[in-house]
Amino acid sequence: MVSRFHVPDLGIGVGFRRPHFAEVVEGRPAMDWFEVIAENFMVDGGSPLYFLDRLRAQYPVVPHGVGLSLGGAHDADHLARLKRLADRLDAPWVSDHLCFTGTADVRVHDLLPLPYTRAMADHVVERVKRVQDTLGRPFAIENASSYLTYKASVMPEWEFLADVVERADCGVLLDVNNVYVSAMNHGFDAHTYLDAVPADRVVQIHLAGHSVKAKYRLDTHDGPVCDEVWALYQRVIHRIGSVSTLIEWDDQLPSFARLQEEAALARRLRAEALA
Amino acid sequence: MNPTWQAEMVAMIRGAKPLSGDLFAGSATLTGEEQIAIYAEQYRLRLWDAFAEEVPGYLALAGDAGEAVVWAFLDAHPPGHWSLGRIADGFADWLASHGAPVEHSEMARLDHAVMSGFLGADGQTPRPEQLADALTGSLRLALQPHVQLLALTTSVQRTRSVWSLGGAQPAVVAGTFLVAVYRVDRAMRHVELEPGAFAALGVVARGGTLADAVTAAVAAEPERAAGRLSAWFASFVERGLVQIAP
Repeated sequence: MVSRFHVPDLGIGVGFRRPHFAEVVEGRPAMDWFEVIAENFMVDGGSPLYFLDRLRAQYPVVPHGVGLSLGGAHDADHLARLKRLADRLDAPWVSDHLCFTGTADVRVHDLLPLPYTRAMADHVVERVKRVQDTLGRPFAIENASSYLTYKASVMPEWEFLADVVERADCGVLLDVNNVYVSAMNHGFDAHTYLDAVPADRVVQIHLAGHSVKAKYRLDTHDGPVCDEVWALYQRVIHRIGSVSTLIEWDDQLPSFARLQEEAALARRLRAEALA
Repeated sequence: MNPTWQAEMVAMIRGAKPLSGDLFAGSATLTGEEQIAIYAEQYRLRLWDAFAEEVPGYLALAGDAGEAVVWAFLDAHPPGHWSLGRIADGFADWLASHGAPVEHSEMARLDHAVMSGFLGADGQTPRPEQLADALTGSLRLALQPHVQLLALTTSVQRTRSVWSLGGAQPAVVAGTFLVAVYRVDRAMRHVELEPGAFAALGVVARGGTLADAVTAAVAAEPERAAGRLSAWFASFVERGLVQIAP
């Protein structure tokens, strides 16, 4: 395995989702690794932890958060529970999104985009440093898909991301589908974005399907990866080298065998790009 | 930007303020107002799905009218916790204080007990022979974290059981139903308890001693308790309702 920002290349993985819990832990299907939505397992007991412990006994597992709200307020309880989960899994890294999810009082449970300003970059850098120090293990931030931009922004998203990860000294979870969705929604060139991401900080790649609406693209994770995103993925791999890759498929979830097919396609295209 | 911009944006998304595109740049195809409207639409879809998962019994009982009630609750009590699993916290009490039929608030209370129990921790269940130690006070008992005791005035637990098994929903009847909701392995169960057993478990839940629990059981059923105590406590252990106090 190749070390990248002190984390291993785990190969090609998929998300561990409830309809597949029993099939995966009992059948031990072929898969390099799994990602779990951290908040779904930051619980005291019951079915989620039962299956999680059995999954971890058989595969590498990486927790991926949706609730840190790095552009918003710190939540001590959330971070403490995230650390407990990461320790339980002995996770090689932990990730969450470059976004905010609400205010201290109201959580909208969505990945809301940030204005790309110096002040916001400073805020996120401090939040990420605190998270990484608390977790005591590598932390990566993911670019979220977005449907709006702010008048107040003074730089493009890719500059903001590069600035934050360099100053916070953290990794990048590069979601290629999110770059494509945002590029289509906001009219920028996805290649410009992907070429600006610090290659040596990318610890993981996300791939997913999305929906095409009348006037915008929506990041729905409800289907296969589209051809345009596969092409961008190969370009990224060619540029940055071998990196752990994960297929996200959350809605209209297919059989696990279908997920294995999608993972096999990613494995083949990754190998082609590396050749 | 105005430091309150996040609060303003959240208020727009959840419908507490009219949508405005003032903060947003817009795109070639969408105005700023249309951009924030996408998040507002997703908010309602996401919250509805999450809430429906938390209160399936209530929604089955309330029928089509339930959706408006749920949104009235969410408008008054937007989610404040990082876990969507906490979205229905307080819903049963809110129903009870807003004139909902008692069977609706009690079904919501039962839903909440089931859902929170599903994710509760497992404590160390005592062995039957350890109950003697508990009686002498050398061992303290507590309720298992996944157990909740409900004193119901309607038979919603029977309705929910039949409905969750796919049967036609039986009518709710009035009465006194003393229920323990608990987990066995990874499945939630409930059991209707006799008054003495319910009283004893209530004392355990409040941190009382086993001797106090026995006293409460006798007070609840003076005529029957003496002959039933052993069976009650054996069933608490057998069903995994109690743990050795941590």
